[in-house]
Amino acid sequence: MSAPSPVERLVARVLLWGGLLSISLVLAGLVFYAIAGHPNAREIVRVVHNRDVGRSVDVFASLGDVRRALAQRPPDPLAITALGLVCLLVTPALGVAAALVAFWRAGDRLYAGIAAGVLGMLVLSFALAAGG
Amino acid sequence: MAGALVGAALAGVVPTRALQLLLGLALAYSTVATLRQLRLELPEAGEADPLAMRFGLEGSYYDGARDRDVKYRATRVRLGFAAMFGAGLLSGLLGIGSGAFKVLAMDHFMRLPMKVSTATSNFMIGITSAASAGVYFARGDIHPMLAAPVAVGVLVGAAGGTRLMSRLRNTTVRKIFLPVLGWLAVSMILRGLGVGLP
Repeated sequence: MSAPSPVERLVARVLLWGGLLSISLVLAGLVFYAIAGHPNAREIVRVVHNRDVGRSVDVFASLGDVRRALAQRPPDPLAITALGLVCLLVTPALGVAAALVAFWRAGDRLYAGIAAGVLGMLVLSFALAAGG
Repeated sequence: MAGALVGAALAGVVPTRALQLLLGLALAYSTVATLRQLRLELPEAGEADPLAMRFGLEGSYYDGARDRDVKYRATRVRLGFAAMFGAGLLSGLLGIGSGAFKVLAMDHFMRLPMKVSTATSNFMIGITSAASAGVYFARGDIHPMLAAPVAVGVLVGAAGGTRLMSRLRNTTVRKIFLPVLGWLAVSMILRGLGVGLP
């Protein structure tokens, strides 16, 4: 059986742990939500903004929304789930970043360049999304 | 990604029904192409492609069903690139995933083994989806309580499917893929013709 290359091993490890972390957070949020139910006091800035733009008050539209809801005591269970979903979105980008590093280390400048291009497009799309 | 960007820019200009019909016809072609290769376990080695050699588009994988390493090399890379661009274009225009086209591009045009095509397509979908999902998240379109069960289900199913695929023959993977492809083709053509589905 052919052994996977160092690049394949590193990317596989990043995707596996990213996926496991994401699913753990999503499930933890769901379990807390099932036990505690809706939070008694939701994070007010998000709620007001969501109502103003006519969407569900439980939606998170930025990392700041998630961070503020997690900072509440007790934390909003939906924010834990949303953090898991954010991890799920970021994991493929981390996989590409890991590939970039691994290709560079292996001296494969061509594929390091291609990985950098893909990562650049991903970062640009995240930045455009964050900018609204 | 380039196709998806162009498609996204053109969305709204081209009528949705025409797009659905176009997608349905492309999927129907994909279904016929898959049907013609239904009994093909591994593609025959094609002519050496200069682009494939330049980019090192070759490798090997351990095939659990055959209990041996399988070597492969991509051919007709330009054709594969054109099909990928088309896949991205339709994906961007209709806001749908284009895994079926990516598999077609790699399996049919680039003559890669089915398992390599599906695995590579899966990886590419993860990357391209991350880009668009970020936009949906920032728009507040992702409700955690709706997305969470779907994400858990897909992750568990994908992990199981991936483990299962390594033990299946390429022809079996193709047989599983075919009805899904056929259903997508029929449903898209019907939508394009304005026929409602139950």
